[in-house]
Amino acid sequence: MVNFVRVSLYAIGFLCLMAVPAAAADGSGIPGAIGGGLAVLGAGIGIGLLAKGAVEAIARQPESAGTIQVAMIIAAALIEGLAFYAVYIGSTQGN
Amino acid sequence: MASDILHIKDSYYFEIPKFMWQSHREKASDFPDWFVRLDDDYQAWEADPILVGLTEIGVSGDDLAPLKARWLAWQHADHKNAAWPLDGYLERQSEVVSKEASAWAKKNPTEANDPLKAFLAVNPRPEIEWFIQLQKDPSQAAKWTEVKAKVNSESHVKEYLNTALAKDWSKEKIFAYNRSLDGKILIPQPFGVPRNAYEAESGLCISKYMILEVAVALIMLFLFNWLAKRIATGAAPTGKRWNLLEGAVQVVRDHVVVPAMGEEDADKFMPFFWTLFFFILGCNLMGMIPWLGSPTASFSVTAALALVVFAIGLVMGVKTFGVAGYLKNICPSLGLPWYLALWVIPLLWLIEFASLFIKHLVLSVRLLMNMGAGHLVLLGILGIGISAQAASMSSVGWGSVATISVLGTTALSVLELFVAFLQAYVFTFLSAMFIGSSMHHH
Repeated sequence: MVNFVRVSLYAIGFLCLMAVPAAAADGSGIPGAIGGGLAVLGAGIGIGLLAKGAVEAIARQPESAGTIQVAMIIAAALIEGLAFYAVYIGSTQGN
Repeated sequence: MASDILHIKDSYYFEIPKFMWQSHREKASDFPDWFVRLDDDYQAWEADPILVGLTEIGVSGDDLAPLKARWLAWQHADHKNAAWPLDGYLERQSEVVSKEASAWAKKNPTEANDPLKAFLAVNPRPEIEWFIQLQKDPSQAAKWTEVKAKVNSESHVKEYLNTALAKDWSKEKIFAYNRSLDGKILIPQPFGVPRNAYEAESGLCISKYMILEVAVALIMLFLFNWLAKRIATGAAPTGKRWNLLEGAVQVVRDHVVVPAMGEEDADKFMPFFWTLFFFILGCNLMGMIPWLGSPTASFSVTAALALVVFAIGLVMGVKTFGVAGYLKNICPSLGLPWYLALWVIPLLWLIEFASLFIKHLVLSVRLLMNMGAGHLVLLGILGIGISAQAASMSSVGWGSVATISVLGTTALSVLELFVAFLQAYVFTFLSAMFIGSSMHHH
């Protein structure tokens, strides 16, 4: 069962990888918004990891909660800025 | 960031509820000049002197005869082409062909020194070729500029308004125009000529965001002048307003600038950072007020702010280290042995030099995108509720969708309020960090 899931995930990944040269051969392009979505995927994972680290650190040392919160907010804002930018550029690129 | 569907862009009018500012214009001369220029009847009337001018320049009658019909068909073909006058149509078509020609020339390189001619030899475009020849010939192009200038002059619209055609605008047309101008307080434009309600033709057109920025600046002047007088007395703060303002001012110093810049330099730059923080905060909060907008959702505003931060960093860095020293300082000294430092340091220096520009650009884009995209999302969600009615669902269906969308919009507006404060904080913090790092040894 696990093997089946693993193989099928590889297959889907390979399919997505082959989409790019196939689209190029066809003459069309990959819609730009997909790029924007991928960037947000990365940003979401990044901010999730950030939140995990921050919450664990607060759990270990509750008296430094204020400092950790501030650092978390700043880092999240920086990452989100790039994500917004990528979404906008991706959605205006079209094909 | 102008787009057809967004109303969160800068405009040359203030929008308020329609019932509060009804347009009661009665004849063509009541409408502003740029509005008349976009009218179909005016453009048809204006096309005749353009055709006469073209005949005088020497274009043949065969080329000119079908021009008007083709131009009108082009206008109606795509809503992006609506209300482009005849001279604009000709120039846009020739630009389109030039772009096609250069793209074609990249794929089929020839030795010909004129890719446009080679392109036209293979793919003839008879409807616009004569115009491209006209643009290439210097004397004809000069005469064309004259024709355009005459047609685009202010007196031309006044001429039209005196003709019988202008007095003849039908009641339906005037009614439709009035309905489209309901609720829009047009900003008077003494220094420039707008092309339409969103774009400027020439000169400096006063836009809604400019007025909002001035309003924020005046409010800040008033509030902080009041605060400064109170602080000068040396007494302890009493009352809500004084405590709030003094607390905010202290927080910006102790928790935003000092952690980023260090204690010694903070006092020198505090006026700048206070201005920066409260200006950005004020502009962001303007976006929370209905029917206003946040000026920081415009790239010009955020780019100007980031440019100021960059300039200050540059000037302070050069003052502290001199030009060569400043450039050396942007790269950290890693204490590498000489055989590694030989090729690592130049690479690192290039990256740091590029990042000098990139990080200020991203500073502006972050603020812009947070303000712009945030309100875009709100528009989208509320739009779902509004368009659910157009989808003619049952009233129960529409009611529940609309309720959910309004509740969602309210929740997101609270998030937007938080983002307004956060983005002002992040911008100020990063500016302090950049300016501090340009003055201290890395």
